[in-house]
Amino acid sequence: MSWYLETGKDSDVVLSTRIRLARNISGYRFPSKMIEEERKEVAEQVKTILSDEKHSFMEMNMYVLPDADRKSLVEKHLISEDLAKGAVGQCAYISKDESISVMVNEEDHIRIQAMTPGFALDDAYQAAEKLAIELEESLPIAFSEKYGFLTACPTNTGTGLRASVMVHLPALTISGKIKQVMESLNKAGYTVRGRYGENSQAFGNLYQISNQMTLGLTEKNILASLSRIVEEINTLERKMRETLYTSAKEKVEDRVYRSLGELTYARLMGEKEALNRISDLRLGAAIGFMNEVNGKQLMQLSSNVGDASVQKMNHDTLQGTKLDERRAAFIREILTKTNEKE
Amino acid sequence: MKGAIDMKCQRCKEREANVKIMKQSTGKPPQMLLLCDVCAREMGLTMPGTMGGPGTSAFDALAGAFMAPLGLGFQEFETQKPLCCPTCGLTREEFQQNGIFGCSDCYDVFAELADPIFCRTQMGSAHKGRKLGKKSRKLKTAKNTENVESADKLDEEIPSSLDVSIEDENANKDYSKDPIIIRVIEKKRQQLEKAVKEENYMEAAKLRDQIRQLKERGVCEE
Repeated sequence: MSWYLETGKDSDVVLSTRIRLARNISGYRFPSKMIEEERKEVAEQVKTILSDEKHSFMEMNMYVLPDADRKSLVEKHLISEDLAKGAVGQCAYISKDESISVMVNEEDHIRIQAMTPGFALDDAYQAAEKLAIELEESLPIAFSEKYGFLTACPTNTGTGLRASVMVHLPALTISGKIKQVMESLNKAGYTVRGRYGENSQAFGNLYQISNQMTLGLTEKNILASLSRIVEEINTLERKMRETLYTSAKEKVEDRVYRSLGELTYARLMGEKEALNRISDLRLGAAIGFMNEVNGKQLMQLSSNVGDASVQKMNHDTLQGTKLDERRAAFIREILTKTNEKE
Repeated sequence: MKGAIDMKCQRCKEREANVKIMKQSTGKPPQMLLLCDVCAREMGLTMPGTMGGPGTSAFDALAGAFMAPLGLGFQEFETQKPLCCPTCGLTREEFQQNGIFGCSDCYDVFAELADPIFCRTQMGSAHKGRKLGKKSRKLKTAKNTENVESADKLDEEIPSSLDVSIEDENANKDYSKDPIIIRVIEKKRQQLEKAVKEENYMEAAKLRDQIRQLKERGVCEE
C-alpha cells in the first residue's frame, strides 16, 4: 500500500513528513553546468547502485516518461517540477510503496527523499540517511571538511538536509492568525509555504513547514528544532479549533456538513473547491463530531484529487468540465464506499 | 560612477544601469538588481561618498564600510576583478545573478563571495553535521586518483590514435586537461573511430567538431 494512504502520529494536524538529502558526485560539474554526456554518465553511475534487485526501485527515465505521468509524480511530491522537465539523463528511482524516491540530475546529482505519514521526522530521516550512506560508500561524494556536503545552491550546503512537515491548519487560517504564525516562523528561520496556491491563500489549508538552514548545525539540531516548532503549531491549531467550535458550533458543523453534501452529490468538482471541501471534512473529523468519513478515506481523497492524478487515473489528458466530472465521480466513489462499509 | 555596466535599469528600463544591488532573503538564492542612479535615489538607496545628500554623512559612509563585508554594500562591485572557475567556467556575474555554484571547485574560487552568504543565510560557514565515513573517504581519494591518472593517459593517447585529424593547436589547456571533459572526449573519440570504420563520414565529421569544441570551450553542440 502507498505510504500516503496510511495515517500516522498527530494526524489530526500533520499529514506527512518528508526528508530530503542532497548529494553530488565528486569529479563532475553540477547539473546546471553539465552537458548531456556528463548527465548520462552520472545517471549511469547511480543506476549501477540503485537498479539492483535488493532495492527493487521503479526506475523512471524522465526523458521518455509521458508528460501526464511526470506531472502526477510531481503532485505526489515524488519528484520536483525541475526534474519533470525531463532532460536527457534526468531520472527517478521510486520505492514500491512510494515512500522513498531518488532524483538524479535535478539541481544536484542526487536527491534522496523519504516520506512518512503523520509526524515522524526521525523515522523519515533514518530511511533517507540509510540510503545516503549506501550511496556515499559506493560513489565518491563531493564533501569538504569546511563546508560539509557540497551542493549547487548555498542554501543546501553542509548537511544537504531539508526536513518538511505538511500540516493542515484550517482553524488558524479561518481565524486569520496564520499570517502572524507564518511571519514568526520565517523570522525564526523556517519556510512556510502553501501546499497549493499562493503563500497566504493555501488551498485546502495545507502548509508545508521546513528548515532553511543546513550549514553550521548538526542533523540532530535541525530535526529537533523543527520538531519543537511543529509541536507548537499543533498545539496552537488544536486550541484554535476548540475556540472556534465552542464559539460557533452551529456554523462549524453547518460548514462541514455542507461540504460533505457537496462532495457526496456534486457532479462537477474543480481542484480548488475539492481541496477546500476536503479540508472541511478533515476539520470535522479532527474535532470529532463528524464520523461519516474516516482518516483513510481522507488520505485517499487528499492525495488523489489533483488534476494530474485524476488524469492519470483515467489514462487520459482530460481538461475542463470532463476533468471536473471525473474528479467528482472519484470523490463520490470514495465517500460511497465508506457509507456502504458502515 | 566608474565601471558602468552596459545594461538598462531594471526599474525605469530607459537609463543605463550603473548601480548593482544584491538582494538576499533568508533561504533564497541571492538576487542581483541593476538600477540607474536616479531610480536608486528614488528608491531611497544612498551611496556613501558618491551621491551627495544624506549619503555623504560620516555615519552613512561608516555604515557602508560595515555593510560591505556582509554583502550588503554597493561599492565593492566597482573594484572587483574578473573571476571565473577554471573547472566549470562559472563567472562572478553568473554566480551573483543565479546564486548557484557550477561545481565543487566553485566553493574555493568564490569563497570570498560565498562566505558572507553563508554567514547571513546559514548558521555560519562551518559544517557541524555528519561527515563522510571512513569507507567513503577512501573511496573518494581512490576514485579521484584514478580519474587523474586515466585523464593523463587519455590526454597522451588522443592525438596519435585518431583516424580523423583534430586541430588542437588552439585548444584551451584548461579544458583539455579537465578529467570530465577528457572522459567525454574519450567516449566521443570511440564513437568517432566506430563511425570512420563504418564509413559514416557525416557522423564522423560531427563528432570531430564536437571533440574540437570540447577541447576549446569545454562544451559542444549536440
